[in-house]
Amino acid sequence: MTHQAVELLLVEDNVEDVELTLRALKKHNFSNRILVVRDGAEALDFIFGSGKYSDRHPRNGPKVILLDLKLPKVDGFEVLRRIKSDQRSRAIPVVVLTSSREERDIVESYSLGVNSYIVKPVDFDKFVQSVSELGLYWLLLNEPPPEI
Amino acid sequence: MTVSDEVSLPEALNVEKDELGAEPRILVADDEQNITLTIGELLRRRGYKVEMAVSGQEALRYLQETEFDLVLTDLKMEGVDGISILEEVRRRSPLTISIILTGYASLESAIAAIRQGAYDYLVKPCPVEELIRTIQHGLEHRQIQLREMKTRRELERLNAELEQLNLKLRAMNEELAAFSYSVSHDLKAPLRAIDGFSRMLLEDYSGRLDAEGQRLLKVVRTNTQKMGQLIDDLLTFSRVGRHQLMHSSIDMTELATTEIEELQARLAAGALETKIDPMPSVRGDPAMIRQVVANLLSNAVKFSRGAEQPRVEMGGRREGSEHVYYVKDNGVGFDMKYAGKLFGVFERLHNADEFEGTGVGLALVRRILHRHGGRVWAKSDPGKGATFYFSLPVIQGEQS
Repeated sequence: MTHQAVELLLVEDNVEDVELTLRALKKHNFSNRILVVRDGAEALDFIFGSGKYSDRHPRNGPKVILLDLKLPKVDGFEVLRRIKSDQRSRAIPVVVLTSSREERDIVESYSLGVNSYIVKPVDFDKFVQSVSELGLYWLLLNEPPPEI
Repeated sequence: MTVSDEVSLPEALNVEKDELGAEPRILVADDEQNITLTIGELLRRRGYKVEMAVSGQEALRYLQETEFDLVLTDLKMEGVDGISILEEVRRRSPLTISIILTGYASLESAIAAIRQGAYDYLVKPCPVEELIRTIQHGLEHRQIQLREMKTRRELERLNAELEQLNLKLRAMNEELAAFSYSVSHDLKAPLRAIDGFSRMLLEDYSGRLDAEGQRLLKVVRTNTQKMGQLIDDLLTFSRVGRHQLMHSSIDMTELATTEIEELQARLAAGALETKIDPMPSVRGDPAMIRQVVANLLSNAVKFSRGAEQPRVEMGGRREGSEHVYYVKDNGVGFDMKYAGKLFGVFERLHNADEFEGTGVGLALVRRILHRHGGRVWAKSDPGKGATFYFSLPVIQGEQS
């Protein structure tokens, strides 16, 4: 898979959550063209075509970014802030996928311009359902902005 | 000069000495030595501790050494005059009483001295009773001021203590908020992994797991989910304590109807008989009061499901300064001797395999009502259903 072809960027540091999320996506055949990055700094590198992703043009953004909030190096809020405050990336839909139901996390995410906020359920069946619904919505139903 | 020690004074004029010290300290300053000595000696005999200065300079020296309760000073002295003495007294110990000794000729300057903070003045020559009375009034005034100062200082100390406690409390609250914040983020991820990986094992290896193996894994999953629910409930419980209340008018009849319809939608048609009587509206935080009603109604539904014809009722009315509401069911009920345990966190009166639940719901209900200035209580007999009551204060100017 080339970096140009990435449709879904999963930003998640917890290996088990990565495996669970990929499995849930796979169950519904959303497993193609997914890239997993493990911290906020790498996510920003990918999005803005810097660091090890310098061959990538930021215009070719993924269709959706699934973003955890608690991340090493650069946290999810900062990643979200950078994506939404940059002309090149602000149109990419970002879905926060987190354990937290804390009001301040939800308020902060929306004030930074998140497109959707989803609390990861403990129950795997519900988790699979949530992930498949968001995959269906953002990868199939949603019409992306033309410049992406 | 009529000051003399032959005049006896009534007992009532004796000075109260406790807070002034055992012997009130008086400084007498007059450059007419005989006046200084006469007055000084007279006061000494009455139990005061007296210093005598026959010049302004000498008076200043005394003031530098000692804090006096009262200073009796002539206004017109060579060198350092009475006004300078007054200034020095005010600078050093503002609560010290100053009394001016003056002749008729300088009455105006005595009045000016009073404007500058002197307590009173005496015109020489003055009768000994007047001297003693003026000094005593002055000392009483000082006594009152000392007490006021003591009270003020005590108040300031208490205020400072309160401020400290407040800071501590705020710090602890912040810590608690930070704690539940990290619980919210970090505690559920491992649970999700346990549940998810157990599920994956069931899916991918079901062929190699016999029925007992599958049952064991299901127990793991059930408990993981239970713990997830427990964490969520506890987080809700702790949030209720921190959440800022947003008051508005709540239509309780409408709220109860919506909630009961939602509960009924999960049951087979006709499985539950319900009755919502018209209730007075109330002022409160709508999201939190909804939690109260939702919790009590779902409890009623849960505990009445074994009844022949499960039935849940809700109603309410104004009683004096309170609105009192009730939720009544015809379920299993409980023994009143355990009523005290109903509203504690994690307290349960039924086995988890009989009735599911984490034991947080009623604790949450009580916490929300307490935060609104309301109460919750219950009445029941085993097997005869239970009635939960809660009250919310009628807020002044509220429309019912």
